[in-house]
Amino acid sequence: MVMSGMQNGHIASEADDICPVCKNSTYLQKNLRFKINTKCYHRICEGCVDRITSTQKKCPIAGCTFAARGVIPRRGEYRVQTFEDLAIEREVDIRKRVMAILNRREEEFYSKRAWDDFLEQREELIMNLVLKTDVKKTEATLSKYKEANADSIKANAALERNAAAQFESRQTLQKEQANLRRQAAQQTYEDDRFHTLTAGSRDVKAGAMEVIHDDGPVSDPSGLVKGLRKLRPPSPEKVYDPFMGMATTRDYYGLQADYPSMRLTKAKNDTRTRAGGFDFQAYYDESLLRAFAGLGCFIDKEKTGQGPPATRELATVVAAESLPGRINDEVF
Amino acid sequence: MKFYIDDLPVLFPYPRIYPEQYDYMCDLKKTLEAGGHCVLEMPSGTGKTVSLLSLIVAYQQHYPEKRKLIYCSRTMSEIEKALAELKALMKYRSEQLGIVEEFRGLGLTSRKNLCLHPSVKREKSGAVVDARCRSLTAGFIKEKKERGEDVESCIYHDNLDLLEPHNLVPPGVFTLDGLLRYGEQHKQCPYFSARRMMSFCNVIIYSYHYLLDPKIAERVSKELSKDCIVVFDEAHNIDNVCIESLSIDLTEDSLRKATRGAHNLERKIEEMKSSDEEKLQNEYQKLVEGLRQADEARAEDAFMANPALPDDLLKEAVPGNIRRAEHFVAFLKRFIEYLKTRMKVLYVIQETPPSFLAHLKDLTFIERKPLRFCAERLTSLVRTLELTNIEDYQPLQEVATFATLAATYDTGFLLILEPYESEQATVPNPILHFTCLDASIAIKPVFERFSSVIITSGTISPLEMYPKMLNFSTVLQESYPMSLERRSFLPMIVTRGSDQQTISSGFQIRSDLGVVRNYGNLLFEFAKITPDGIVVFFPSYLYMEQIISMWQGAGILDQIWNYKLLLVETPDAQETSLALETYRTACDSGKGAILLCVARGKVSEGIDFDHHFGRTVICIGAPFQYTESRILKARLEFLRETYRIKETDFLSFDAMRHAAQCLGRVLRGKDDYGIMVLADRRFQRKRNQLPRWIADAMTDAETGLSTDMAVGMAKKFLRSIAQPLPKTSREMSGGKGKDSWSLQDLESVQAERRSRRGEGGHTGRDEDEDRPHDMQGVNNKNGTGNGHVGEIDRAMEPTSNYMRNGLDEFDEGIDDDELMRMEA
Repeated sequence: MVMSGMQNGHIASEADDICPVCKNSTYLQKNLRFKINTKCYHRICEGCVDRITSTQKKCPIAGCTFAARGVIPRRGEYRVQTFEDLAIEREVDIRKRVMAILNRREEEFYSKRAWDDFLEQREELIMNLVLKTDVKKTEATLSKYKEANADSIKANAALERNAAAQFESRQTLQKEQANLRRQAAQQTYEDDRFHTLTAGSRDVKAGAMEVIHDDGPVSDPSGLVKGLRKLRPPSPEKVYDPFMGMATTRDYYGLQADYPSMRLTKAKNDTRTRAGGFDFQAYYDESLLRAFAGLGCFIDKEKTGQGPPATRELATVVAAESLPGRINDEVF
Repeated sequence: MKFYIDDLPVLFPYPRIYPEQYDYMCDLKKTLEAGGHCVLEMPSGTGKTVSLLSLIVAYQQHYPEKRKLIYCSRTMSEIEKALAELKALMKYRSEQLGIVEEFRGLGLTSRKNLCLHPSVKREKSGAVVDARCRSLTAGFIKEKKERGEDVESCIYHDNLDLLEPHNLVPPGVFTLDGLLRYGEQHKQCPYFSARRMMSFCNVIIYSYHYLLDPKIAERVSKELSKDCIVVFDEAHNIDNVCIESLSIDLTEDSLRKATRGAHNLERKIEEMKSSDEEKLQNEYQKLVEGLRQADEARAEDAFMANPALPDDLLKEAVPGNIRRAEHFVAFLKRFIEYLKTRMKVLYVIQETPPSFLAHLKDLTFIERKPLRFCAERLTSLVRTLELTNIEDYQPLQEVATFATLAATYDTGFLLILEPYESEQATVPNPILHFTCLDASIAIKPVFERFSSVIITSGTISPLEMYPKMLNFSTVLQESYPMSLERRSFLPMIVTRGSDQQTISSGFQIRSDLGVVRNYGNLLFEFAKITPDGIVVFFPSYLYMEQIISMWQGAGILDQIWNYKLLLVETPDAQETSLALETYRTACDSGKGAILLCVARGKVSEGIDFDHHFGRTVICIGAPFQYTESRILKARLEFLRETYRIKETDFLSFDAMRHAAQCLGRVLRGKDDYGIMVLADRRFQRKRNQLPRWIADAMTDAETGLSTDMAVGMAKKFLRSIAQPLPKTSREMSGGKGKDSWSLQDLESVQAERRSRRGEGGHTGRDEDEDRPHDMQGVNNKNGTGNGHVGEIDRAMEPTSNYMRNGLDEFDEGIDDDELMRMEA
């Protein structure tokens, strides 16, 4: 089963390309463009594509097996070729399809060996399709796997998209920052005191699945892929809390809209204070909080370890800071 | 003569020693004892190599560890010179000691220079010799022969197997010539003898590339132990060597060849499958198990090695999707096709490796992981297939190396695709440059592996630039002045022509008729007064051609012809060597000649114009690099972002090191004399970036000159140097010679220093007081330098000032103390 377009492994150079249907060549017509059929990978010029698809004809290349079977290509099945070598073009298309189905991720596997075995297995399947050995069997395996693992395929595809998007945004960010730095370096040529914008080089771990429990390797529902881990989708990331979970309830007082104060009356009526954005409400709140702070704290309890953990750590730090001699000693 | 440095007896093969040689040895010894890296600059022609060798050999023989010396030089002739020097030293040692020490010193160079095989050695190209040699000496050839198959092999190589593996050549020092002769006599291969004896040698002398180029280093220099002493001589260009060794250029043609290579591999795999399936299966099994190629015996004939890979990667198993040979070939083909599609783009692209990989993955589903293993997998496959005609696979290997590097390093590399050769070109001829921007990547393994690395050259100023660029720390950086009996060279900076017009090769005024005329005039005047040879350096070929044609138009050349012959360097190596030969003949005949050459060309690097071959050197224009080159721009940006080296700093550093290299060409010893003219306005401010021995010899009176003044000074200088050296001067300078010491002189100096140290007590450094001038020199330089030099000096403070000056160190201590208390 040899396909005529692929006999030489690659097509002739673009210098004198001739359309096999209308015999038009790039030598005579500079802007002649070619498209390929994604089924049989035969290559004809755009004009012929339009003609053929509008009149519902088969692939016009002599000896095309798809045409022999009576397959009529649609307009959407013709596209511009990416690779010079049509065999590679086809391989990549097949690969794309298989990879969309067998899209397991490395962290899903129990061991590196299992992951490598999976990679080889996938490669094997792809090569089967490319070299047309055992096509039927391979296709069957694939569709079986697809049915059995629909959920995981979907989840992994989403993860993949996510990672790609994140990578993209990081790249653009880095590019922008590099640009900024370049401009800054040019502007402040003499004294470059510019602040280095350290690129956000945090690893993209977000979205990776978590391992639930290690029961040893398992295989997927269809039984094709072995050596998997049991994973659970990650819990959504919590909103950042600067107080590390410390309660901010006001147990001992309620905040009123206004308090009479001799000191503040003048300031309250002064437009300059207001214009500066001074918030009296916040000032009251803070004053009251300070006045009542410590009312609910029992140091003995905290010492025995019954207090909230966040405050205990805080207390240690504060205690350490209150001993000036010790810290300075450590420096030497 | 024999003398002691502290408790180390040093045998020096000459009756007199230069003061700077002694200082150099002292500092070397300190570095070796402290166990760290150092940068040393010693004037050219003051016997750097011999002092280095005699100190290190003395050190080796005196201490029980017997640390091995790896001496790296640049060219074949330098290697041969060093070997001869070492041989003479060892002969002197055995005469003095009365015993022949158990000592081995060998040099290594390419197969082409060391081949004895009657037909192979006649090949002209090095690559062909390598390939043919491999096809005769590979491990599987031997196996086949043992099995009784009829294969051709090299008798010289086979004979090695009959000898004891640790005693292929007798102890002693062999020069390359000597090794060839020994090989011929005993019918054994000199190349493999040297390589196999490497681990038994006390001194190894070879080219930089054997250590720096990761593709070679992996094979040749793997077994060297950690406590080796590594010396890079003539290292002023070491950063460029590092960068070149990791940069790859791909063209459409090389990709086509790579595709052909991949197809060949595929065919070979098919063949092997039908004939010898077992071998492929074995390889596959090994890869599955994650075993490294265990057969170390074969490592020697492995034709490809891996580029610098992190160690953790080397321990990992090859990813599953390229484990099978046929999968790997398909993988390679896909990658090459992808590169081909990239080549079709008609505008310039600059891309970082991560974004390249992302695009690659989008289009071909090639992931980073298998890509990283590309080079290693290919090596393994080639070994399994037992390929002999390896040069056919060279382009494929290049692609694989490129893949591995791109997937391994996120930063420090850049892909630049240039579709057109020049701005004006209309026919695309795309080149994909994969350029390394970070010189420290290639040299990092060297610094990490060896405890003492010594970087030395005649012109390596400013010293602090190298540790910065190559990312290492030194225990010592030192530049030595040149001690001279009398003033034997005259460096001058000429900034104006005789009509007081400023002269410069700056872009705006370089083709200005007045500037060109003034340059011509300068050359003409010096042609009149200089005896024998004149060497002139231009910043580029382009400028040289332009200026020569303008001189011709203005009739200046006709005037010059009356006095000297004119010869020109061209990019063609053969033409240049012919010009050089003619130049030498002209100099020998007494009339003298002028050689016009380029500051970055072949002549400026490694050709010496000693004595009458060069009495005047003129640098016309500061040799700045062509700043519009995209690769240079990218590198400048990288240096700025990563090592905080400003663009202008790097460019002027680079220009000055080349200028210094040019100036150093004419002065090759203490009995030599010459005039050095720097003719550009821009040199005036860069004076402090010259090597110390040149800068020290240049007084303020010799800067900012006009042509007439320079000619007047040169005349006076030549007249005074023509007088015989008065005998009395030696006696007048207090008994000991100023430029060289006999043993008595040396001992008296040592005693003097020791007694001073006794008085000084707390500083503990003998040279501190002895060289007060040095400190001043450095400080002065700081003061007069323009902004950035000060900054560099601040950067070097922790190392050099700290090492040099006990007092400063103490002061700093107080400051810190004070600060602490205030904070408390």
